[in-house]
Amino acid sequence: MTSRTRGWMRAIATLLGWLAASATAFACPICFQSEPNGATAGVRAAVFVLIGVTVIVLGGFARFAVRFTGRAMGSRLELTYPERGTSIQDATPLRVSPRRDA
Amino acid sequence: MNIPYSVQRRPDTGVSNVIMGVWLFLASEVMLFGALFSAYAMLRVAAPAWPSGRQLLSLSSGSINTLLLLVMTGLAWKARAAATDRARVLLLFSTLLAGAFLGVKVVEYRGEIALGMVPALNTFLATYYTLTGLHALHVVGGMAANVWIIAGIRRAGTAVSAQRMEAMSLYWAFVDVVWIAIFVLMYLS
Repeated sequence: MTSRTRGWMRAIATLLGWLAASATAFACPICFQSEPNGATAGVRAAVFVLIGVTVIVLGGFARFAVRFTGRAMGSRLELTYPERGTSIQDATPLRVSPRRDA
Repeated sequence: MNIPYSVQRRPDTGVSNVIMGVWLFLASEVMLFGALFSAYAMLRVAAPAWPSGRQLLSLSSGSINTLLLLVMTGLAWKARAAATDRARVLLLFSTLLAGAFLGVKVVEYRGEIALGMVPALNTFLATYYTLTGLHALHVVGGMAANVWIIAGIRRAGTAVSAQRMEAMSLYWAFVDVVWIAIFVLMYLS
């Protein structure tokens, strides 16, 4: 049996196990609306705080990405790589020039 | 060996390596403190009773520390645009104010511990010491970085030092934001 076949078999076994397990095995008290009590309310608050923090961080990354896209749209990069056998220090730095059609 | 774009901005990204690295570091720090604030929210909402920080903690110490941090960060931001000697002085004062912040915090901790308010007493105090303790460690780290910048300001040159100071001002602003969140959650609620 090749390693690739073994990998496929493992993936199929995992999928079958996942399908065979009952839904309650994956139940979390928030999704499954268990009896409301202090613990579930606390977990719910914690999840909302973490979602908020994650959204802030991912929003920051998205803002960076949008900024880079904007810069790329407004400029044309000229990339120069070093010749084989030369060091990175000998490479011409990146140059950005305005787009001709901009 | 000179690493490219450690001082000048990369034309494609518009930022230098230093500033990009600091922003990535701050993103990871936001996740670290975010996880702790999330734990705080869980413990507070789940607790049958939660003590009032206004009654337990020293509001005056917290307010003084807030003021110290804000002035300190203001000086660190002013150092960015200042000439070398003036930047050095501003950064030195900024470091001294960070030291004063830690001094007030130590006095506050000693008073609380003398009253028997130790982390094991209740969940409120456990989260209080965890959040403020980790924040204080960040202040210690920032002070060490400030001292490193001051010591190397002549050797590193104006351009490199300016990059370092810009990075530190961003870091201190982050430390301020975390402190304000701690102040509101712990001292005012």
